Amino acid sequence: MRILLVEDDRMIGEAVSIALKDAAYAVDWVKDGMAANSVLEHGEHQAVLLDLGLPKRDGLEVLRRLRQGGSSVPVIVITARDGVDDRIKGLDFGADDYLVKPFDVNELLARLRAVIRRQGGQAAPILSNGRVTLDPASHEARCGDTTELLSAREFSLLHALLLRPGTIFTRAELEEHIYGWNEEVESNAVDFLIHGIRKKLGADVIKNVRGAGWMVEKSI
Amino acid sequence: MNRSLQRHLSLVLASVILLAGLVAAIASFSLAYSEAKEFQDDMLRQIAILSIDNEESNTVTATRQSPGSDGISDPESHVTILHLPKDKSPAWPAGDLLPGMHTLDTGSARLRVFVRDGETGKRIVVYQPTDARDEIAIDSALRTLIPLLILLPILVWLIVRIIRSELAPIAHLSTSLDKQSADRPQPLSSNNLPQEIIPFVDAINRLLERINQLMGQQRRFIADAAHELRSPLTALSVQAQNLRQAGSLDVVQERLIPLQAGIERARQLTEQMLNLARTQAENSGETVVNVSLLARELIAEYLPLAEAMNIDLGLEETVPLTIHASPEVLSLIIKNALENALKYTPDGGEVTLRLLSENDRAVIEVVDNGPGIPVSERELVFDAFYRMPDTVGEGSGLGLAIAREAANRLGGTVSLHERKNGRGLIFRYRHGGKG
Repeated sequence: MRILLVEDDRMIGEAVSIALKDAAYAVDWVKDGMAANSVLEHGEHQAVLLDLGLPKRDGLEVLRRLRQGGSSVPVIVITARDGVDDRIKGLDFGADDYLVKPFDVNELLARLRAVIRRQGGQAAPILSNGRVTLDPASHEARCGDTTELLSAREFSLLHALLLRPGTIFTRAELEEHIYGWNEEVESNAVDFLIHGIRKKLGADVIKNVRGAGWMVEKSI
Repeated sequence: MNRSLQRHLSLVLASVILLAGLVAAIASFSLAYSEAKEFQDDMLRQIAILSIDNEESNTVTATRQSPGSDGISDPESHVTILHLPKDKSPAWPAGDLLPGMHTLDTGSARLRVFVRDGETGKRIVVYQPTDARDEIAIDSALRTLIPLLILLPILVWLIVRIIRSELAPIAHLSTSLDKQSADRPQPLSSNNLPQEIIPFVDAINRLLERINQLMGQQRRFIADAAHELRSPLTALSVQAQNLRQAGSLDVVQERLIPLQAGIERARQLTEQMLNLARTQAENSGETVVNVSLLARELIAEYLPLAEAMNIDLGLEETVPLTIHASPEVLSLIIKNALENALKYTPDGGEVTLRLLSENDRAVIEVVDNGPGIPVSERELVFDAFYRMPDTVGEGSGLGLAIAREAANRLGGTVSLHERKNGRGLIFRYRHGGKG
């Protein structure tokens, strides 16, 4: 799961990046509004955390342009502007949620899970394809009778697959989900993680389609 | 205690009216009294003339003959007429009186007498007791006082009423001032007010306007300050949470560093806010400050920071300066200017503290060769918490606001200027008093 963080305050940016990485997200961080828009054009992020008071281009303008460009990526506005008018404006401009500084990291993560879940078309907090279930809050996966706690990266990979059951993901796509820009992608990382998941939950949890990639089965 | 204008006016005007009324009453009484007496003298004279004429024809008409005398008497006015033969003058009334008006004292009563000698040698004496005369005179004099006495209280009552109604707008004004809310006073309306009070009301309104402005500034500052505190607090709360998530001691150590930096930043912000509040509120004592000495101390203080940033920090002193100022406030100005210059000057740059004298005024300048500030921004950057767009700064946004406030305190001015040769910014403090 790859998140774009748009925040001009260096300390907040660094701290939130660490918090997101701890929660098994891949994080890319930009510090101004123009950079945010140009990065978002590529559509490689599953969610955006957007500050409003940004240099070069205001956060609301970033949001307006993003939605004008037809993107439906979930956006959580994080800002010190706490007036009701500001919140209404933010939501009307196309934000999916609104969080006022200072916020609790756990609340931020919960809201992030909620917007990503809704984006995947699922209202229930637990992801499932009928065979494997995954709890994004606790990182616990269950298959049949076995319940296992997944590592951050394992969770990240399974989460990506379970959000769109029946879809084949290439190695590059999976890597993109797991790693941020400045993180070095280890070779065989995807193979290694899939091996770990299969070992914990059973070999047939993730299907390998030769020459195409990996997938989890669509719910029956 | 302040005197009440209304009561004072009423009292003074009423006393003046009463006093004037009293004087008028005494004057009109005495005039009427002497007029009545003169009139009675005239009457005696006319009676005497008429009596002589009538005596010729022997048709004297009088209401009654007074007993024991051979004259004619009027009971109301007690006028008595005596006809005396010229040769047979009785002992009384004194025959030896010259013709004319006299006042006689007979022992039993005082009389007013008019003596006239007729052509035939007869003498006519018309007299009247002064008691009766006085009574009549007093009666008629008193009568002239009646309208005045009725008018006086009415006049006083009217004056009091008029004063009260004229002062009513002022009373109304003060109640409407009392009703104002303290935090957002509205200007007073000068409708229906007497012309003399309007300048006063205008002055109050100007004061209210200034208070409103000041309150607005304070409100904005508090809102801005609360807003500015959110950033360091957010960083702190996330950093603390990250510390909790740390799996190993090494990670804990690693994550403590940004947390400490976050605390330091929050400390700096609160310190700057306190500095601003202090410069606004306090009136610190002024002494003679040796600026050259202070400048050297401050440069020594910032030298380590400048060296760490590879910036050449130096002093340029054209004249030795001593000024009358508060040393704390003055160093606050120089410190904030130096901090700003160091913050925005690139690696390898140069910052110079310059002391000079211009038209007998002390001038302290901080010159850098940083990116400078566009003309349109040079006033805005003095606003509290204002940051130039497109700068990724870590500052509190308070430094220049503090410098300006401190300069105001010292009666001086601060301004930003372009560097004449080459790029960079000049921060200039111009001292108010003479050097």
